[in-house]
Amino acid sequence: MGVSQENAEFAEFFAASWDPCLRAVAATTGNLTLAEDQTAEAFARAWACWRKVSHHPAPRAWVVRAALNAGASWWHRRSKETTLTSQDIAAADGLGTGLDTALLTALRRLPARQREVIALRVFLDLDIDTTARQLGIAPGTVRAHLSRAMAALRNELAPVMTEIER
Amino acid sequence: MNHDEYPADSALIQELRDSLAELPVPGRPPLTEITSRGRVRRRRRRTRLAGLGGAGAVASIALVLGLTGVFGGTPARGTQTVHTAAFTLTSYTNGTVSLRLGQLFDPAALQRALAHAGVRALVTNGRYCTSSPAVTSPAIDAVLPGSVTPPNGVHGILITANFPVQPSQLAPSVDPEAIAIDPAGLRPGTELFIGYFDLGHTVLADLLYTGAHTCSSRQSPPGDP
Repeated sequence: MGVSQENAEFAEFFAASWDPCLRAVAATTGNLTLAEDQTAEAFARAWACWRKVSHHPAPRAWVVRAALNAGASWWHRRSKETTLTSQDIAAADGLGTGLDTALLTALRRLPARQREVIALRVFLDLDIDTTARQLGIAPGTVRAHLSRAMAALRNELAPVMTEIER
Repeated sequence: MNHDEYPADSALIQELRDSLAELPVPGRPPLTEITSRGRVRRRRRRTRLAGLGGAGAVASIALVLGLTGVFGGTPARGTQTVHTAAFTLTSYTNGTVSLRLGQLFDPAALQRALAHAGVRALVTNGRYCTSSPAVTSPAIDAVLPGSVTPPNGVHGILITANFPVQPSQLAPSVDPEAIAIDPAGLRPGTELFIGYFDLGHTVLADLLYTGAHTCSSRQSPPGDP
């Protein structure tokens, strides 16, 4: 495959995948500004090794995982930010109100591994086995994380969803 | 719906997907910006790979000697670095240690690595530990030179991701992005406490009196909502 064809393929992938990947990373990290930076870095990594990524069974998952792992200086960047309370996280990033805010707040309360499972299984719509392979854990562990996460989210979001349904 | 999930979850999963789909996100950056960053990464990788040619023999010897796993990455001269997905712990020749955290948190591995670096420590996930009486500030400063007292009214809280270490407070040789630890300042009967809290991804570093502390489950450190 020629370089120009590879570049064209990457450009197509980038155009189609930026929004869903950014949303998955934002939902997982709970911070859109941080997610934007990490997602851009992940796409840059994908470009740098596109021959490998293009043959990956789930390239978007590769990008999301790379974005979530792109935090070598994450704590440092985080340390420069002011403390975000559970109430203002979405508002601070202009992510909307209502269920959006509640969703991000509830996701942010989940342990890191559960957020990763949600990002891949729910937001990127990967099946259980692919999610497990991406995270390097057993399918049963994915199910357990997903089950716990959904239970926690049900509890957190139930009042908001009831209010919206009225 | 996937058969792996409970039926009751399908509605919530769809709600989550719908809600996420409606999240307004900024437009994608120009492709040239991404490819420029990618080129930088590619150059760095090639440089590293070129350097590995000379380092290969050394690495092989390390493997033969059993120095496998997390030790012996690419430390600066005279230093030893423990690198995992969860943290990077660097021991300097002057005895000080710097800890840089990743997004994952592995308390058992970090506690072992700290012990190997000469730092008695209790590392927890979702548990806040404190001793009564609390260790005094001068004793804490001797171990954690970047200590600050955040405005949460809890005596002895020093460093969290939200209350940064000021680079000006650190010795010039210490990585300003890391938590600086001086094991020599650790007085007998005390140990370092490092706690990770999911809410806000906060890490708290403090000192405890060994065997005279209590722990409680928390999602955030004291003073946080």
